[in-house]
Amino acid sequence: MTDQPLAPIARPDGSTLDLIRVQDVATRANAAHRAMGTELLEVERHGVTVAVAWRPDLTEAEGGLAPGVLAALLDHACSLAALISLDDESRFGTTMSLRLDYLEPAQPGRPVRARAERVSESTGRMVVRGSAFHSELPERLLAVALCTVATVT
Amino acid sequence: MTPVEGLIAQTPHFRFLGLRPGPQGSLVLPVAPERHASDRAVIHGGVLSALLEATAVLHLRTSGAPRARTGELTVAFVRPGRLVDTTATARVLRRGRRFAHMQITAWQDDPAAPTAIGYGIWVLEP
Repeated sequence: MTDQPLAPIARPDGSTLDLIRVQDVATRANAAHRAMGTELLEVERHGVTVAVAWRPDLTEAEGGLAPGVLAALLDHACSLAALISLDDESRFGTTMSLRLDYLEPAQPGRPVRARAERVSESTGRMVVRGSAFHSELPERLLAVALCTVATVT
Repeated sequence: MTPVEGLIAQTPHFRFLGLRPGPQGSLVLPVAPERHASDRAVIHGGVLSALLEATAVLHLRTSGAPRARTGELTVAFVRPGRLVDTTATARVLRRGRRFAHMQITAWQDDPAAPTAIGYGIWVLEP
């Protein structure tokens, strides 16, 4: 795996985070996602989109990206959305829970994207929701997630 | 090769994670930081979720439901997952004709101090 320079990510209005640092956390500093080849596609003010390419070593027996890969991608997207929404890395605590609903299996040969966004923030915790889909078929969701992140107040 | 070993061998992502059968029907994630760690020197929550999902699905697929698929899974990250081998066990809460309710526990040194707990529903396709 070579370390190509990170492609620039557009900064949403109101965000002050170091986006190179965010991209590093999303794709390199997190070893599990570095090993999966996870990419950061877009940063919104309270959300994020990440993607993983189809790879034969990340599949289930039927040939699509495995449910565990979708779990890892949605967990990551939800954590990143919380970090971006907080706009302060020191306030990110830990992921406390992750609820996943699998709607249909990922199709062989197709990459998967996950988009996550903040639902609400209350004292000490943030609720984030995410969805996973094939880039070419964004209206057909593969899985949805609801995640609670503990925040530092 | 046991049935669980056979299914792991047929499932590329289970091999990618390095899963192997443990004692008494458990599943072991032999920790490999370069594949399993987050950016904080703990096991990534998504990898723990994948371990719980794999444990339940392997349990069902080797006990009479070869086409069982994960419908939903809720994971509580109870403790940080240190970078050590992690074991998971699945328990059937109820198994009907179409659905199975499962509880899965992942632990490290002490089964009484779980790292992550999962609950979910598996669809038992005919």
